[in-house]
Amino acid sequence: MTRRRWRITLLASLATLAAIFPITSLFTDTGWLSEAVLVVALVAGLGLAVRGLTRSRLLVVAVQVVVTAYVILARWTGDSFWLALPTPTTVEAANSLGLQALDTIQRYSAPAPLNDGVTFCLIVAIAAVAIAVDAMAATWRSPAAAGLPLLTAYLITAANGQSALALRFFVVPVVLWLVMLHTTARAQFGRWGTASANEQSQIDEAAHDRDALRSFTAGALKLGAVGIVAALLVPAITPHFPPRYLTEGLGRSGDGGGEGSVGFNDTLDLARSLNNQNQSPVLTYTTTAFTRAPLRVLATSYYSRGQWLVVGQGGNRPDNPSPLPPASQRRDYVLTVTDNTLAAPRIAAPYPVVAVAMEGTPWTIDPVTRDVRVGKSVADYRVTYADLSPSPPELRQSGAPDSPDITEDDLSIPDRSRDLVQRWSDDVTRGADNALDRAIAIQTHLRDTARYTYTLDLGQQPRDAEGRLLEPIQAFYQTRRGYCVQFATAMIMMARAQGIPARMAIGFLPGVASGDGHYIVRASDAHAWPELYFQGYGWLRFEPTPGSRSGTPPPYAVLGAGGAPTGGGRDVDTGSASGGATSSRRTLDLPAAEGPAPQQPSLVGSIASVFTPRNLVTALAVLVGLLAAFVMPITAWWLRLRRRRAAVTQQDLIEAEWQDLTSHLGDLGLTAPDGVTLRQLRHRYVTDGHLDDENASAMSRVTATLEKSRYDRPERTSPQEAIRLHHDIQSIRRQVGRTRAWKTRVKGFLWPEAAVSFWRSLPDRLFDLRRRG
Amino acid sequence: MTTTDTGLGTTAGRGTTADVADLGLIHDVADRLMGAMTSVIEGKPDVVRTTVTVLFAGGHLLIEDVPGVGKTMLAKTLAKSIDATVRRIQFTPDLLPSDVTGVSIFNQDARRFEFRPGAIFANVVVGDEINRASPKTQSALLESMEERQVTVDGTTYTLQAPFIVMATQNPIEMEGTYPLPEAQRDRFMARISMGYPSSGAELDLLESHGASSPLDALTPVTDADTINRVVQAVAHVHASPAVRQYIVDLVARSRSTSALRLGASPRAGLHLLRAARAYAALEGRDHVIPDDVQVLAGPVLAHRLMPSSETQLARRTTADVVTDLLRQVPVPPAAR
Repeated sequence: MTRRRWRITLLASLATLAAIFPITSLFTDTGWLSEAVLVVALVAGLGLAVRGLTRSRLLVVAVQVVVTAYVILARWTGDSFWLALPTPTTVEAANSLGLQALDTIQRYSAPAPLNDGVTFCLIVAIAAVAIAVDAMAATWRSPAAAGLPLLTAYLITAANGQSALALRFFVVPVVLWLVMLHTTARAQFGRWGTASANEQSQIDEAAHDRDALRSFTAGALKLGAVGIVAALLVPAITPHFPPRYLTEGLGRSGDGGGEGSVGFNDTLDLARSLNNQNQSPVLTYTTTAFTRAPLRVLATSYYSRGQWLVVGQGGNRPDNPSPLPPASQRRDYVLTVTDNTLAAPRIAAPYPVVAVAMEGTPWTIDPVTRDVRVGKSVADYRVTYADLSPSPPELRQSGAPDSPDITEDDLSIPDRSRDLVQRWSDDVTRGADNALDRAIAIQTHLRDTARYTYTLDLGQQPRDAEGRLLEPIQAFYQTRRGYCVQFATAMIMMARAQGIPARMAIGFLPGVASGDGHYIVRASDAHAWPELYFQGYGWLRFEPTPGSRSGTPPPYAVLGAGGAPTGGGRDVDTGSASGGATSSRRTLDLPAAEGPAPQQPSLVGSIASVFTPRNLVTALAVLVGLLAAFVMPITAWWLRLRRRRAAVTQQDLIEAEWQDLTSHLGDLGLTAPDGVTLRQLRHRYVTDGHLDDENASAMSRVTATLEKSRYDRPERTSPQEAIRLHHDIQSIRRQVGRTRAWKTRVKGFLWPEAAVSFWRSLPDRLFDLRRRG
Repeated sequence: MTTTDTGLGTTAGRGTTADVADLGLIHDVADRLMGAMTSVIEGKPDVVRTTVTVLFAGGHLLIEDVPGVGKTMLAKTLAKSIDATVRRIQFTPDLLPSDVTGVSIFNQDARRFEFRPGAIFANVVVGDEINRASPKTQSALLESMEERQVTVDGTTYTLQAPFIVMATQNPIEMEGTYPLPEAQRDRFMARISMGYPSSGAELDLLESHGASSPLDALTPVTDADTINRVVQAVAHVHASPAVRQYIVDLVARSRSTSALRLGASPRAGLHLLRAARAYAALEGRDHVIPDDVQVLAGPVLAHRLMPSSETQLARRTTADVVTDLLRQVPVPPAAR
């Protein structure tokens, strides 16, 4: 195996990794990345090893495919293996993983949650890309073709991502690909040269070749550089639609990119909007109201796998929105929006909308959520909305919730968190005997900045005893960190646990005044808050999020506290604190009562939990991997042992020792060419091996003994000489090893020539054996 | 006249303990011989060594070089160092076979044919410019070289031991010569070239040979009997199976290589082994090692081989081919 094969294989795997790296932006979790690195490394390692053994290119690819498929199946469907072999059940397991992935991909847009199915399919795809790249770049030595699978991997992200891809995502794999091209071109060009150079004028020819090669590569480099510069310059100077290709991102114009409109995807991940501190204005408005309300874009009741989702229309839905309270019990305001950039079909408006006035596109009001949908994006519109301003005493006396716009989702709590939420909310609302007071208690509890921290950085997500990510509600309960989504979700779930229908509203904070009565809402004003249902008044906004980036609680939620049995806001706070103990203590207390997550698992249990079938399969795979990595050293060791065992006479033993030495020194770069005698070889070993005087005389003793054993009368070799020979050889091996570079030594250890030739000649020997047999 | 066993290939099957070579004797004789010869042939220790090796191995020597480098001097020096019968034959185109082998002449007094031995009946025969004789005469000489006997008129006369023919020939001046056919060259154990002396040696040569030849001052340092004993002792030098295998491999490879039209004969292998034995003894060893074989492969094999036309076109000599063979053929026991 030449060094170039090492280099090209390494480059191919690095390029593969660089091309798949953008996929990290498609998923919420990067847990798949380490698996991907392992798979790519496995493919590269297999390629290197098998190419070293056989010239059959198809065989190389076949081994890569089979072994990689086995490892992937073992990793994800290992439970179905029988005697470490796949069974029909494995196919079913793989199929169900695929279905799971399909379901996830259809249901979520990027960034999607990561689950086993998605990871499995992703790793299979990455393995396919890695094998294709390795096969083209290293096995067939045409890295130009390897650009296609690399581009495929890159397009996975470009085609599915929501936003434009950063330039670096493209540049890194391309640079690696170019280096790969360069390396192979150099290698191939270099080979022409050595083939044509003949003995007489080797030096001149070599110099000539070098010059030619230099001008060839320089020309190629210039051509490549000109191409890249042209790719950057031409789009910059020609008229174009935003965004500019290459310099402003690749693949597609993104919704949340630097320019263009602001959109909400259906997965409602506000983290990105909040995180990017995007100051681009979404809309500008004026209002007739004195107190400004948040502008709602949409609401949803469906919570699944830690995410709020907008589900399709269907089920038992009323045909029309339920009527608002009569005009006497409400006050209507008008909001006039200009410069709206929110992407269709959404528009932002305070809740509840009474009427919409806009030109150029039809609009509808969702009968359940009262979201306003438009056919296409409009710059200017006017909405009339109602301010119900119910009084707390009235709310306290509102009856049991019963309305067509309450769905069963409005009361559902994820199973995994049900117990926790129930206990938590019971604890917080202790002493409150009606829905409003309970809601206020929950809101007050969550707004306590001594307990909860508002932050966009959720930090390391906690995991349960089995290493799975916690359900986000549980995670929030443990970390007590989060932003509006976490606070709103917690309040919604706690309200639902207390029997109050609740749903998630997404929209914008009221924005800031621009001076002339206009208010500007920016993308970073994105916000989420809970809406709770009170019979007779409909869905009412609450504001559990503490901190600056939050809305003000509505009057009923603050005023109501004044008349609440537990006293004022402060009192509620202390009351709930004393009732539920302090938060830090509570987090210690409560989990003790929790069933599913025992705090102090027994030692036996923890050991047993380590030995899950999956872990065992992983351990087996690691063991097989280690064995594969050390198969050559082990073979060499076994060959040595076999030779020694087979030695009958003194001479055989001496020959075995000598063979050890020559093959070991050969691995260290001191080869023994055919046709050299012992004395010539001794000279070579002493000079090229940089043996000191002591070892040089040891070498002389060794060759003298060997010469005697080989060529003198057999009875003249004494056993003492054989023993001394062994010691001398050990000493020489150590000395020569010290003078070699560590790379040579590692290669000599991992890839001993004796073992390699053993495996190479194995097919021939088996064939001979069969023919003789 | 006595028949002597030259020990040709006879040790291989014998027991080993009883046949330990008398290294002391060999060493002593070699020292004296080489000392004497070096005093005349200056600056050519390798040539002297090979010459003595061939003498000890019981072979014949072909000295091939341009005129004036001391071919004849070498032959005469060796002849004079040994207290033995020496004959010199100057080969010319009109030399008759009977001049070499001898002739039966009718004795008028005794009224019967009497055998008059030719020039070949000596311990050391120096044949000058052997390629100038007619092929018929050459054949007569070469036949007796191999068989160590002369048959004239149906009567066989055995040559006395030791018997060494040292023939010289000039490879440059080809006009009016009859180059030795390869088959006949095969009879010579080794062919050596003198080569020009180094400038220092040449300076010394001008000085020492100015007044009188140092050859005149040379006195014999050994005698025919001793040489006979040495030849017998050399035959007892141990050649292990590995070494014999190596020689066979070399010879076999010379027959299969595309660089040669004609490979080495079995006799070539035999000669190589004998020469290697002598060389090992000169080195003070009683066993042959592959290094001995490698040293002698060139002198012993090169003159017997015929280059292929490709080799000739590439202006490579058979000696170059032998060097290649040595590089290619693994030394047994093979490393792998």
